[in-house]
Amino acid sequence: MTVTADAKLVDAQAGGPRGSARATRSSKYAGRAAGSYLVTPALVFLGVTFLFPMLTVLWASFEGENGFTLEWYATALGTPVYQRLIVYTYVFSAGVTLICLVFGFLLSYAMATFWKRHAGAIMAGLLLAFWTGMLIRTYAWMVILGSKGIFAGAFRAVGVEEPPQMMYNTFGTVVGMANILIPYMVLMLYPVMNRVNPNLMMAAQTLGATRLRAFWRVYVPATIPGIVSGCVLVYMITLGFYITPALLGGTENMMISQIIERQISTLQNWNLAGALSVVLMLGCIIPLWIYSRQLKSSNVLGGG
Amino acid sequence: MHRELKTAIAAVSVAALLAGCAAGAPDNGSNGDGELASSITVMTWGGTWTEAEAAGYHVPFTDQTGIEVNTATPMDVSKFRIAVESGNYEVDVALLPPYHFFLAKELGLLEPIDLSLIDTSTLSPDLEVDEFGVPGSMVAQQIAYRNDAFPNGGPQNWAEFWDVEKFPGKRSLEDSPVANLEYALLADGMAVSDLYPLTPEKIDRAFASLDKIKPHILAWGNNPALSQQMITDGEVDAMMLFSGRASSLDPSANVSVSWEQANQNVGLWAIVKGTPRVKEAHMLINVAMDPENQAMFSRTTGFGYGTVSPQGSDFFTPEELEKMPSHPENYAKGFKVDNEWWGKNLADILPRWEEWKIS
Repeated sequence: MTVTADAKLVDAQAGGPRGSARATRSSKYAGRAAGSYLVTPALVFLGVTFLFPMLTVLWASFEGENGFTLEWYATALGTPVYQRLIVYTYVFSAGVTLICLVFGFLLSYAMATFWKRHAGAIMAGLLLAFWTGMLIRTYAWMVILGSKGIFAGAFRAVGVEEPPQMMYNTFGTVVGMANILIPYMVLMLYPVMNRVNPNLMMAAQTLGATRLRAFWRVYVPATIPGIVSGCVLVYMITLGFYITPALLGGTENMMISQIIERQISTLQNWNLAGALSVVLMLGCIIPLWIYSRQLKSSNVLGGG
Repeated sequence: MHRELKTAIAAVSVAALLAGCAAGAPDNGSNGDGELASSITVMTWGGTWTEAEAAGYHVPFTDQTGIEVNTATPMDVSKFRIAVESGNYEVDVALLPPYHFFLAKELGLLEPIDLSLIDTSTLSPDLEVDEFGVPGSMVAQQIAYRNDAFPNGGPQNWAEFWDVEKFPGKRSLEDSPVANLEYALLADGMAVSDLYPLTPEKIDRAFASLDKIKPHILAWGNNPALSQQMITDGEVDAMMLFSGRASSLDPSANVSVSWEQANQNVGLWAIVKGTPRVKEAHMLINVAMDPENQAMFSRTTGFGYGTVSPQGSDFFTPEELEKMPSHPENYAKGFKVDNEWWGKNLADILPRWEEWKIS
């Protein structure tokens, strides 16, 4: 924007001979401005299908029998069981995000370095996972992790009479969720890693760093934009997860999304459901803030 | 010129989009002059239930009246509520489970039933016709157990279900205080006749009783289809199972059921308040009152669902009757959970249930 404004100033100072060029430039501006009108149908669509329902939920969360009320927020934030579940949802989501980060980072690193030849095939495999519905994959995990599943069979084959419980607990939930979320993490990390100059590591080593030190001090900081965007994306998705914890989890894995569903469906208390949803959404605001801070400073990091 | 053209395109596409949104549902309802609608929408669970409903009720209805039947899944009171609040009737009628029925009635979402249009003479005298609903289905929540886990017989009543020493193994119950509090009280030794009304002391006693079985509950079921999977796969050894699910299990699953202290759930037909197709809905309910149609419904579900009409029993062999909740012997052993009470009180008890579950 700044560059083109300067150019316009130059045109104006230059005067006559550049008049025709100026005319072209201003019509380019006009074209760009008018072209933005074409976004309007998309904005209307988003407004109707996305913004309007969200505002309705927000409105419902403040609506009581006698008009405006904060009673639903008082219930949502004041009931001990809801407090516990909200905190658990945030903490558990952070934990799952961390696990996805570790595995996603390893996989992306492999794809960017020693498995570079197979990166395309691996990426295709990950994207194929997106084509399968989340529900089907959760059911598949129920078959695999169940007491008649593959792993249980493997345990029995080596002589373990009672295979450990792999489903209806935290382990099953994390496995199911990580399986769905790691592709997102890889999609965020891999492009960033691909663009890291491999000579950087070599340069660090020639300057005396060990491989490990070069990795930690040079490579990982260069991938931070990918790490941040991956974590933000995965965290926000995890917060709203409903199906996988409901099917693969036990009572200790209950997340606030299940309470919201109960309020909507079983109890028909849409006001409280709205308040709980808003509280859940607020949990997304901090990661988004971090993400926007990182975006601003990403120019300094020079890439990603 | 360029700019005007682009603006014009933008304006036209916005207008088209908004017009499309405002189009609304095609006109389909009874006209004042008595002409019937061309189709009606029934809210239903999906899967085997819907197949049974279609075989028993939708197909005979269409044959008799020529009106098409569409289905909307799954069963959720929210659909009724949205229809009433928005005026856009995507569903007209449903055979509601008792809890859903009393909740919908509480919220004022149901149309009063015009009994002059429905022949309720075939109904069992034991079942009450509500101002807003007509009894339509019978299913029992019963104890089901794997025979290989209990070679000497499994738990036959709730006290035995609670007895993990005599009947060791993993359990599953439905993820809801409804009926579970009653089972807990029965397990604790209370008689069925003393259950109601559920006073706060009784509720405390129920939760104390539930504490005893809690460590043995592997999973709290909230999905009936998965509940079948749980017992066939051997994840649990004993559980509460709907009779409709139990009867449609493969014989190789080797599961037995008990009718003692089973909860006899009576579902009711109900019509969404203010639907333009109220007359057609009444006609459908009338078709559902025919004992032969009820027998067809039950047969298609594998006999796990009973008939609300005693004459329905005429259409079954004695062996088939033994599997049904409406069989007099089975029915006599069970009891009825007061779903009307739950419709009013679940909102107060549910937070306590959730708290209890995760503590």
